[in-house]
Amino acid sequence: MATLTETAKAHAAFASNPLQEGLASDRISDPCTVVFFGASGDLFKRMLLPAMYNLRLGDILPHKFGIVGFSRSEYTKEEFCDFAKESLAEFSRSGEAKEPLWSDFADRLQYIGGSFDDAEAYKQLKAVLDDNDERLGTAGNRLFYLSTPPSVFGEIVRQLNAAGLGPRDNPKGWSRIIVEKPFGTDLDSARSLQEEISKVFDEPQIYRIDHYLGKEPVQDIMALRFANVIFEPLWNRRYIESVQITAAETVGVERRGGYYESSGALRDMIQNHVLNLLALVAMEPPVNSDADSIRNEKFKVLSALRPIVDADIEKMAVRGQYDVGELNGKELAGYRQEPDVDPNSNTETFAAVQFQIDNWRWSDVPFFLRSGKRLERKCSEIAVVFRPIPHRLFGEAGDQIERNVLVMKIQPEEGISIRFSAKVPGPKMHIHSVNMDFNYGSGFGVVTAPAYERLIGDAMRGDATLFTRWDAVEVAWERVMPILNYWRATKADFPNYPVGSQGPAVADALLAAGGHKWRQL
Amino acid sequence: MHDVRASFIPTVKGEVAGTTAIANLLVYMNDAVRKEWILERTEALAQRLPARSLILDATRAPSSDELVPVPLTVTRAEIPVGQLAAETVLALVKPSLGRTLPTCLWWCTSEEAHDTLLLILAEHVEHLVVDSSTALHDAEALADLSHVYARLPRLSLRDLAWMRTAQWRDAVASIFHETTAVAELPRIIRVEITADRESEAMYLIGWLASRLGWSAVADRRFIDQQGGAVNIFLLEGESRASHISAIRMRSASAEFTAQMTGNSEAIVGTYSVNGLTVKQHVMPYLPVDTAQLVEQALLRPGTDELFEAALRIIRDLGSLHD
Repeated sequence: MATLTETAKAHAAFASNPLQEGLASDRISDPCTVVFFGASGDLFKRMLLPAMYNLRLGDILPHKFGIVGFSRSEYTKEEFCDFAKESLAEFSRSGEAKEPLWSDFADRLQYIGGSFDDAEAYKQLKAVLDDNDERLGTAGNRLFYLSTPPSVFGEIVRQLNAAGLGPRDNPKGWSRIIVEKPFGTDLDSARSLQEEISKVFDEPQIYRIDHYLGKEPVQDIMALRFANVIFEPLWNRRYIESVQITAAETVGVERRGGYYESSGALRDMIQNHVLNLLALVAMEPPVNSDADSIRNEKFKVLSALRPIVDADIEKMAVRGQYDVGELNGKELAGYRQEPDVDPNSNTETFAAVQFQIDNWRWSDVPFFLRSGKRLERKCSEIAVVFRPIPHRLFGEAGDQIERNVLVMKIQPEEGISIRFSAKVPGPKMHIHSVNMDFNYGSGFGVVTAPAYERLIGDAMRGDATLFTRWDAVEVAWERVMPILNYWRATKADFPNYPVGSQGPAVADALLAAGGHKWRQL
Repeated sequence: MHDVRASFIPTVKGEVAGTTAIANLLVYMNDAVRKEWILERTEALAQRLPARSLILDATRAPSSDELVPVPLTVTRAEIPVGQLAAETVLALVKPSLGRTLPTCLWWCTSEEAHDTLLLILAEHVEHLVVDSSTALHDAEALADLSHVYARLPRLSLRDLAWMRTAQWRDAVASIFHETTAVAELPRIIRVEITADRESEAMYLIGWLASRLGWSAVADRRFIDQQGGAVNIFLLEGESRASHISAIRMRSASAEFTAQMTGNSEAIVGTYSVNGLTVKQHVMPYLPVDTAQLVEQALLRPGTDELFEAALRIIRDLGSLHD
């Protein structure tokens, strides 16, 4: 018979759960509550809520978690749950929510209705979060997600602080904030917003989201470059002639005409998504894989982008706006005919910019960036175009030798393609270009998860690698501001490309000047 | 035109290619029904590794001119081994493997395995993948496996049956999140597992016993660290998406259950004291794909301390049973 002391000792040995030891799981370990501001909006119902539910289905969420929706709409808890269930049925990749997981998920959903400057609503929020800590065991850990119009970001942060929901008032857990893009509408507004947020949150607690960075093929850029020995030795001005980064869409502005009028392609895509891609392609190898090592290198390369002075803007940047045209057999309106758009609008729906990177690796290698709406094909890709072979060994046959091209496909296809020359079978030496393709779906036999699932999970884990640090945001604004200012001050000859085309002729001219050519969409 | 490859394969059906293989993938199968699936998986895995694949096909007896080793230049071959003695199979296999590449053996049987052959072949491979759940007498197959491993501790061993229990281990561990629940762990007196594959139930028992410091004293009985008895009950369950359908653990006053829901989409964990529910967790259950398990097992070899400890307990139980 064991003595009480022996029994107590044995019990003490189980003070931490011995069954948990050694179990491998992808589950996020920290309990927490995620608060979504803008919870009645499109982004929440189409992307964020399905992301949370699919993280739950994949057993990635911690066992102890809560979700609070906050927006201006008035919902009871039941109405919010109904809204959430309908949204999942319509937009979740896993389809309709089923029992018993749905009831368990719904039990963790809370809703607070109020305007973003309503101090009372924030007091309610604090009470709900405190209650979650008790009821759900969320341990004081809070992740605030700002999926609202950017105009209220500052107000929300001020109100959070005033309600005692800032990190400095939360000694028992962590507080983090995810800020949706755009982070500011220009350099000054970005700096003001940063100043507001940084009064309450320190930089490691701020997660500036760019959902492009959560896409698997974007994450694979680093793997391609730094987990292989065959590419990095060629990854420089000696072997690479130019780099083209494309983010082309077939959609127009849809219901976002009002927003887009004050934005445009340069702000909406190039300043964030496309420059982030450029940074990943062009950065130096980081010293290790932690968030700051990678973000240090991204910042360095963005800082090395040569500022475009006013005198060069016409040569380095072009803009376009779509006109009436046909896409997939359907006649579509031009931008100026879209709802909430000025019939004489000067806003660009297409932008192309040539950047130079002033460092040893990339000196004289042009980086061509383009993004546009209502183009012929949806296509996001990075094409690395290699220099021509130095010597024509095959005489006339060598005339058909094209440049090698490495293409990182981001969407809708996800994968990597390498174009190289091969001999056509037969008695003569005929050279022909062929493609070697890797596709994510067939290569790994998995469907890649939407970017928001990855990014929300990372923020809950405290991994900021795929989020943009302030210094990179600031320098990106600094580089695009001269173009924005110039375009604002000068009238464009719009519209200048039809719906369903490859973009405006001025974009072709931008590359043709240096003997280059855009890849066909 | 004369195919030069033919000169390399006088008697064996196979393929020759420039050798970039980093391993031999040796597959033993005795199930004609699953043959196509196994061949397809083997091909995919051999490409992924990349590996030479040698399939020992026990569903077909060899003709006399097929009793020759596979040349080392052959990258893929099916070798009929039906009705052959274990030593004869070894005599065919050993020279076919060569000396330079490590060998993974995927022991893919659905009926009673040829355990002598497994023992013999295991001595010549670096990595062994088995699936105790598919054996006709799975508990016995598992006991045999525990002895193979005891004899060959250098072997890197993976059992798909153990891998299938991962979500159940996670679910059971999750019930003991509460401090009061953890305090009950040393007081467990009864464990009841409902499963349609005894091997997987045994793995869970082995895991629990090794984590909680129980020692086997009889076929289905342990003593805990204080000398208290822990009785084990295995109940037969219906065949479902998961081979396990419920686990119940009891102390004098508390009960802990992990139960699969009717739609097999979640495991509900419940902690109750004196019949009153203290805490309930719902955990999603992700369908287990055997092809993915095989891939994981083969592509990520290595040992797992939890698995080894569970297997040792199973061997101890088997010894008591004998």
